[in-house]
Amino acid sequence: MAPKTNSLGWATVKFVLLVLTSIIMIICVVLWRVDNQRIERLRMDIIDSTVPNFSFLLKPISNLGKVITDFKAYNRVYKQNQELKSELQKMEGWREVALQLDQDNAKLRALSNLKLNPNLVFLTGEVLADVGGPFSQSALINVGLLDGIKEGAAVLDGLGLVGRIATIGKDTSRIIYVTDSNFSIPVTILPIRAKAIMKGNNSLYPELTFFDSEEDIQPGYRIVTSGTDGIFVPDLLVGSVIKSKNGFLIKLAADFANIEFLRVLRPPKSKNLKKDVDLLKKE
Amino acid sequence: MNSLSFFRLTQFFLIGLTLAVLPLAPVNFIPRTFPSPDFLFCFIVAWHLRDPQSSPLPLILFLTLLVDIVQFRPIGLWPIFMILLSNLITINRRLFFNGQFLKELLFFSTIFFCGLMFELFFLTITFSPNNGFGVAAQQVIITSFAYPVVVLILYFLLRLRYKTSRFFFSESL
Repeated sequence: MAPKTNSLGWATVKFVLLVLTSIIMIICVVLWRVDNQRIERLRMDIIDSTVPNFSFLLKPISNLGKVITDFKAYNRVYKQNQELKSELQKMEGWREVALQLDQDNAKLRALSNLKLNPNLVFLTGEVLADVGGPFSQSALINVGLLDGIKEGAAVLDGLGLVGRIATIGKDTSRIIYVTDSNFSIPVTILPIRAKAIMKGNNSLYPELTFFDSEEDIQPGYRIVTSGTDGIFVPDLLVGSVIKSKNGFLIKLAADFANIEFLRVLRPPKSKNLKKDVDLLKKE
Repeated sequence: MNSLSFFRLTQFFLIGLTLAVLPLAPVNFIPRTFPSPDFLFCFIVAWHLRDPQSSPLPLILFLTLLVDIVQFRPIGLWPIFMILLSNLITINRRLFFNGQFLKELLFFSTIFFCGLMFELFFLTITFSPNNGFGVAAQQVIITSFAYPVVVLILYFLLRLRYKTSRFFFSESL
């Protein structure tokens, strides 16, 4: 009799624990939806403390990926090297012209005394992890609140816009890429200065939507951020226009094949958005 | 718990943790044309079907909660689904003892599809961003192709077989 009673007691305890766990998980899900900011801050705190500790596991994999990428790049470089050798012979004549231009350039730089826009201060971070799943394009970078960056800051590689800071922790932040389907920003098409919206579609070629006239836009036109959202600094290079069957797509300037170090810009001082509703308020 | 069971438990935890963390490796940031298979889900289901004693529910919940946190999914949604799935497997394990893998694969595809629809439904009714039915369907197909590979690895490399256990299965069910 005793063993049956014991197993019944244990089964009851297990059932109660199961119900309690289910209730806790349901509460977590509801809280995630209702009080999203607090839960996201808690999530970033957990990620801050756990993900960097897994670098011993992630580094070998990323290094192996780099070896494979480098091997492919080596093949490409070898072919390019052969082509460049033949072109080099033609370039000898331009050498003298280049030397003269270099001297003129040095004089002009000294004369201009260039002062950078304070809004364009940036800091560089290293990509720690790819936290996007099959349905999202995002990554974790090793800069956070303690480094002085804020949510919504633009993220670039050396060439163009890569994404923006979506969630921020003390030491790490999550970047959502321009290729993510939930990423949309207002852009300007140069040289016609037409306004449009760039919308990610989980591919390397985001869509260009909400433009006035299709006839004015030509393939090859540059796309830059317009700054009308008050979040991004204007005139950050996004890419160039390409034509597709159903309209226009954007060929991104950023090199998504080689993302390792990224620049994070500080957002402009004109608007400090605390809530989404602030965008609608008149100044 | 004997030493073999403890060893299996440790194997399950370490492999599960590795599968949960490995997708975070910053290898390729080019958007993929198709979603990658959910190896962790394949691993958990395959192991839990064969040896539920060494894949206890608390560990499964810990792994799925960890993945929810680091991959920015709704926190707690997949653990709820795993609780339901674990009970479903416990009740229906007898269906798999005759070794019909096609039945098992169909079961896996169905439950994974239900899991993704459960997530999609929740995200839709709570007006959260989601990627729609098309991407979820692709994920189901691709993960279903990966499931046999995971089962083969567990079978040949880890020697994981179906276990009958009077503590977890009753003929009276």
